[in-house]
Amino acid sequence: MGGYLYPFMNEVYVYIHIPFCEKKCIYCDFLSIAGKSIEKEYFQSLTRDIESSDILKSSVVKTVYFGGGTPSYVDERYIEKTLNTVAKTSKAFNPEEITIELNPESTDKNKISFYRSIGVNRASLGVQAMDDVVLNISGRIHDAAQAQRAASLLRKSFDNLNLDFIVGLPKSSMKTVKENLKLIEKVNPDHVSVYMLEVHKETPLFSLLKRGKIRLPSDDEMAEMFDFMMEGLKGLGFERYEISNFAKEGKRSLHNLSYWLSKDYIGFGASAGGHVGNYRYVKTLNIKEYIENPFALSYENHNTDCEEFKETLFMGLRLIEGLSIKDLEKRFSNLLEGFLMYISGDELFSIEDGRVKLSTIGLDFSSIAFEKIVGWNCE
Amino acid sequence: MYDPKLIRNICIIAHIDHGKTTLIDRILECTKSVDQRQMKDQFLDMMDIERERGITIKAQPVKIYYKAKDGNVYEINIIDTPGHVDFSYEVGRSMAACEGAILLVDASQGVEAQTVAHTYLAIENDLEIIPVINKIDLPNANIEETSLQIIDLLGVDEEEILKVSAKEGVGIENLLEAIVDRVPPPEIKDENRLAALIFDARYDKYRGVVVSVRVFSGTVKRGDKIITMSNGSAYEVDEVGYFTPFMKPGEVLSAGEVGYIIAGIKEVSQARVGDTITLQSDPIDEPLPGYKDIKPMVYAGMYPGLPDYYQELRKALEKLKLNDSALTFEPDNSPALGFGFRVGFLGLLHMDVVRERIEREFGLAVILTAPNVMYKVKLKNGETVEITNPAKFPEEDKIEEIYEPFVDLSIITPGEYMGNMINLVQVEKRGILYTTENAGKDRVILKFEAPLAEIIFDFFDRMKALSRGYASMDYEFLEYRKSDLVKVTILVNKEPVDALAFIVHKSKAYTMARKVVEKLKDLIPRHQFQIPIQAKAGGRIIARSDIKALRKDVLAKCYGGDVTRKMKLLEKQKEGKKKLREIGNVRIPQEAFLALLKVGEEEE
Ligand SMILES: Nc1nc2c(ncn2[C@@H]2O[C@H](COP(=O)(O)OP(=O)(O)O)[C@@H](O)[C@H]2O)c(=O)[nH]1
Ligand code: SF4
Ligand SMILES: [Mg+2]
Repeated sequence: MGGYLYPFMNEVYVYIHIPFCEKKCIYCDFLSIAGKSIEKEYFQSLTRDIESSDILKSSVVKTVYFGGGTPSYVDERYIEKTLNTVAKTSKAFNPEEITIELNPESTDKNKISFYRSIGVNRASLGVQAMDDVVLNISGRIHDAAQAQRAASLLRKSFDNLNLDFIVGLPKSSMKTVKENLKLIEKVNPDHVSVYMLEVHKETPLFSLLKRGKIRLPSDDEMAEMFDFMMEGLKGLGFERYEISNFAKEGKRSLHNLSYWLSKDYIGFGASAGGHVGNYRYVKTLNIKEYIENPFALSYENHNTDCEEFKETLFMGLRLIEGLSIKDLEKRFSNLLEGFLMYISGDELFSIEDGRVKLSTIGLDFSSIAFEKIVGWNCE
Repeated sequence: MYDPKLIRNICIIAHIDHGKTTLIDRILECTKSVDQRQMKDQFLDMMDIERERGITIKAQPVKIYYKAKDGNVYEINIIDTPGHVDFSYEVGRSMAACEGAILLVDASQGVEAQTVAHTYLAIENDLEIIPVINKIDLPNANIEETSLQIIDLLGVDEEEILKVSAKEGVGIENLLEAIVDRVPPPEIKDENRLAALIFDARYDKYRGVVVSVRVFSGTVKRGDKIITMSNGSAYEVDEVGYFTPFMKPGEVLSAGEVGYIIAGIKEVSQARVGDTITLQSDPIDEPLPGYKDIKPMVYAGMYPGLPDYYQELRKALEKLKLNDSALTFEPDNSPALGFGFRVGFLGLLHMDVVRERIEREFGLAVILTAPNVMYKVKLKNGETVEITNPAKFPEEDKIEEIYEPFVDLSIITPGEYMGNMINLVQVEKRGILYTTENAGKDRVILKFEAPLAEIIFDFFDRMKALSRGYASMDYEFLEYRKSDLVKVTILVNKEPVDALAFIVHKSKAYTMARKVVEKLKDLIPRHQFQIPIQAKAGGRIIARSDIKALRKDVLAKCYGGDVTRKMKLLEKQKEGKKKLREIGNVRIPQEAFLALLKVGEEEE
């Protein structure tokens, strides 16, 4: 029987949000604040939050992911304490993957060996662009040399390393992506994420653009840069397995796959989200509120089958291989057919080898493809 | 109590932000006219709608009592005026209700160009003008220079200029004294029959139309049977009264007084500004001078953002019409945009205001097409048709002659920009200069005859740009003249889009066509496929541009905490696209339908 009949599945994927950064980047829409004067209070609440999780208490932890913000910016003993709390609280703790996100300026040997010593086995470094001008104008506080140093250091200690890049930052060009590829070639990470820049309202970037104070590469330039990165990564032995994610064989991110496969995951910390069975929630988006009440939510919903199905598609079709029709049939037998009809003949989708996925065009126009999914009415 | 010798009717001419609201606030305080603080705030709020709504809405008149140094208590009526060329007719009518005007100038800014036009209007209306320099408390106040400008403008003596600080309440008493001393009381003619000038009318949900009037002769009271002289409609008066500034019922309005009449009038178009009210039983022979039946100058298509909202749009327009006598509309149907309306406006500002009100007050998204004037087309069969919609322009082979409206255009400008102005009108805008006059020391009035269509499109901004903001303009309809015009059709992805068609003078057809297709290229978003945009006139393609295919539109990331947020975002995006009209696979946004208006924008 499918696990969805039981509210609490046995295996969970754990996300922990660390909302502190040394300085805010101009494009950033993650929940984080500059400075860490309230880290102590925050981690106290985080501990309370984790310790009170009934789901965690009855589950086996498969992965842990420290994301942010900048987890490497806070005192590493808080990371240790938090990880211990997760281990203590859970029913069983033997995760295959424990990831921490780092930024170059706060990556050093001591921290790395400390993380390794507490069981962290995957590192994710925010490089973004190997170009000082680009980094500077984007509000990043490291330069390319620092990124290179940090990446090399991490490479020595981690046999699972991810580097993050953003394509299309202000002042970036083909030269930037060529430098990115050079770094990748040199450091030889196991995993690379390449995001096309998205401009979010309520970021400084948005208002700078609106006021004409800053310019972005054109849509065509961005597309060219992304395609160049993609080709380069392919040449270096990476496989694109998600719209923006590339991995060497056997090195896909287990934690992130739990999102794309709509497994059961729980999030702790402000703005963290979880999905267990048909239940989805997002923690408060207010750090102060989180400190006062770590159980406050900004969103919560018991999904109807239709909502659950749409979310499953919305996430699952981000994977290049798409979703297995057989698996979908098991969970959404009465909705599946309608969906397949809805997309039949649509050039953005394809059905192949028993799987439904985005077509090659669909991958280039994923925004439109997902818009169609969101707009589908299956209630 | 009624003694016309103790009445003063004035208006205030002021550029925005020069301190009109603050000054009135101070006057109210000084004369203790509005005693409750809360009421005053409300009143001033009313004044500020004016700014928010873009200078078009008039505040209600206000009546105050002032005990002057001579021991008499004077009744002073302050009447507001709108401040844009679209409404200059109304400004003139408001002034006709007064005997005096305060010319209020910010000492740190000096005389602004728009103020000049209104000052001339006041002079034309024989108003006694009291020049007042405001904000003398400011450290950067330049009283001397401002005085010189005022002397230039009015030819007054230095001593006649009052200096005040509305903010600090300095000089208010003097100003009130000057109003009493210098502004003549209303002249009472030897005439007992009622003649009341309508200078404003607004629709009130509960009371129907409230008409603001200045009585020139006779009296009006509750129960009187009145008629509006332009159309002969008859009404029975329910109530007369004064603005304190809130409506306060009174017994009777007599010659020289300003007040309101409520008489079961259903919409403001039945009580036109400038019209004369008289008694049905004993009417006056001649209406007061200056009435004009204001007609729309420009027409544009207005369509609901979502096609299903046609009825809602109709209701919104009907509601607005209750309070906007210049607005006209009739149903229209466009192959591209579906059911909507052809709406007539006084000018572009009026159009913007109407659109904004529909969006804000009724929550309806609308699509507007580029405005145009009304053409008269004489057909080969001898018939003449009036065309307000380029899409409905007759086939070329059926046309004998085409006529377009010409206006009498006056531009007031400092001498140094005279050349620029003449160039603009004659070279770019097909106008002809017929006279120049001096106006003050360094100002000239240039008078042109020009096609209205040229004055509507990006003229105001060009004029401002070429005169560093100093020139101001006014125009009046002259006549229809024969003209060499041609219709340009626009094809998007090979499909003609009726709502994008426009009429243009033959000499400009190529240039305009090229500019419009280029502009559309910027305004229509890129699609997954290439889109040709073509302009066609006289059966031939005369311009073309291509919108290149979009290469990617990617949702770059989505992780566990983002799912609902990202889905919401896409939902919104999808909603947004609903506002676009899909024509042969191509989504066309609202701005594209106004492409014609935007072609001039980058010329600077
Ligand atoms: N310093 C100073 N500021 C003034 C004076 N009169 C008005 N203001 C300021 O000028 C601004 C515009 O005034 P307001 O009365 O709203 O101008 P309006 O647009 O003509 O109605 C406001 O910030 C006022 O406080 C004055 O005599 N002195
Ligand atoms: S480091 Fe990351 S989380 Fe922090 S501000 Fe920059 S982009 Fe945002
Ligand atoms: Mg004001």
